[in-house]
Amino acid sequence: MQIILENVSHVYMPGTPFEVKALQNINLNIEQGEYLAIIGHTGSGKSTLVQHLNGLLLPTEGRVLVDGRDIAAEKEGLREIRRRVGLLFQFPEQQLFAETVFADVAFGPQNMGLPADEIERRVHRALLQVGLPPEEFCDRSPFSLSGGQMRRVAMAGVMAMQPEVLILDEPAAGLDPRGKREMFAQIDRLHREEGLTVILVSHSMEDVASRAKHLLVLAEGRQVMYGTPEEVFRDAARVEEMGLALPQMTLLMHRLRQAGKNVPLEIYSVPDARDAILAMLEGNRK
Amino acid sequence: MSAIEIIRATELGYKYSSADTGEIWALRNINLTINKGEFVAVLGPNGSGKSTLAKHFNALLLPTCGRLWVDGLLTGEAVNHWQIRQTVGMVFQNPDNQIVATTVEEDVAFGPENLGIPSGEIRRRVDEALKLVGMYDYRQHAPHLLSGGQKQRVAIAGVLAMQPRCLVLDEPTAMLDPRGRREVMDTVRRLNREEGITVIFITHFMEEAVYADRVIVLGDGEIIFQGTPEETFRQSSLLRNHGLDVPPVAELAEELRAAGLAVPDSVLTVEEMVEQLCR
Repeated sequence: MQIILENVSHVYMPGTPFEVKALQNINLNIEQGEYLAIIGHTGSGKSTLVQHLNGLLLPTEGRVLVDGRDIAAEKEGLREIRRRVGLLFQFPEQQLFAETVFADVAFGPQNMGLPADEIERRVHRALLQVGLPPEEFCDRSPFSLSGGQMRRVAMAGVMAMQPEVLILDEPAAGLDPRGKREMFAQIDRLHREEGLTVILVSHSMEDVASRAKHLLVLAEGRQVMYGTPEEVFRDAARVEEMGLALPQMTLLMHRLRQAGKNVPLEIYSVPDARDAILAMLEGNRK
Repeated sequence: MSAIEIIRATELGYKYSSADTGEIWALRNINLTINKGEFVAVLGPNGSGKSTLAKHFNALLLPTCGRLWVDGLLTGEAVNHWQIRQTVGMVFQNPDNQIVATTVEEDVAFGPENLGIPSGEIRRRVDEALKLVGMYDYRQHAPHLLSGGQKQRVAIAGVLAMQPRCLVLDEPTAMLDPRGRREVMDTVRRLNREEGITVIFITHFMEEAVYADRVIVLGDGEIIFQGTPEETFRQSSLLRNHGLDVPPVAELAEELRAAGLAVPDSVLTVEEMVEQLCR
């Protein structure tokens, strides 16, 4: 599915003293199979923006088109759009409620009125998709699991609806390094192998730069930068000025370049940085 | 306990029971000392016992076995709790759960008011605490309208107004964006350096631990390593086996060493790496 935002603005509590312009004039085209990262500080409008992508919020100005249809006109179709665009909120483990993992993941499909065997099939598949073997986890209480596992149960609840687009709001917040690595590995796999469109909301360039196809940087509700990671980091000074830390390896390359060294700037990972530095030293020797 | 120590734990263990999993030893055989004025980072994966340990430092939890002294006072003795909690102040992960009042200065005054301190002295302490965290200009603001980093600094000011000698921060940056993280880190480092406050900083972010004098690594309720940041991040396989990591620059240094370059262990930050490579 394709999602297009045309001049989308959103104002909270318009016409009151509490009026807040949360989004101003956002234009965005999200194609099937996209891997987009939306980056910005707390309060920059990231969460407001993603809630427009599945109709939880409607724009106060502009239009959101899903497969060419304006979602504001879709009274009946909104439920269908929300099923196709899955949204995992921040700290989703706080929303777990059922007595067993199975019951929690089954909640959405049950509300869709699916037959019992289809529900079971979906729950098992969703648990496998998030890396929790069903035979081991189905009957356990979600509250006996680790934080990272609980978060993946919440993610399975979204996956059981079989969405085409998966939006994750800070999916790694509060996880330790291993939990974080595992979480991102699952998300990458869903994108690569199941062809899911993935939209990550994050304030960490470090986490998203190496995986996203496109980065959208928001500040005070405005779209300030958009492009591939290469395009966005070319303007490293601007990224830093906004207080958004560059990935450490990218920052290192920029600093080396400033010190007169001949290194590439499009570096996000440690192995790539190592190769670039070894090549740089090799070049010095010649 | 010697005069330079502020905290000492000997063979400390803590056990709790839950309906699902039975008895669990969250901490086992913890032996550690923290000196006055030290900046100690505590690292460990989720579930390693970091928060449980932190809560022992101001007697919110008491050891099941072993002992813990705070400035010479045993936490096991209820009569000491008042004094211990004046010595050690706690800051938690979520600033929203720690803020109680409708303006910043009232929030900071909440602790000293409860101590029954005269109002002139409260005024002085609140102003001083807000200046120390760089939030004095916001004293009349409503806390809920502040950014995450600002709220967390108000929470720290609220603790500082109690004039503790030791500050325990339990993942104070976990919910903050990069700017907020830097604000909190800079504030805490300054309090340690300029005010001489002992800091125990619990974190998931390896790169925050590079600023500490000493790092304590917890795994499965036990101390698995203690040392300077350089010594700690040399233990990359031990850290990785416990679900942790080394900061990206330390990992790069390791890779460069493996490729035959002489990069010292002390290189942990981007600046240090640039300096090393531009010699």
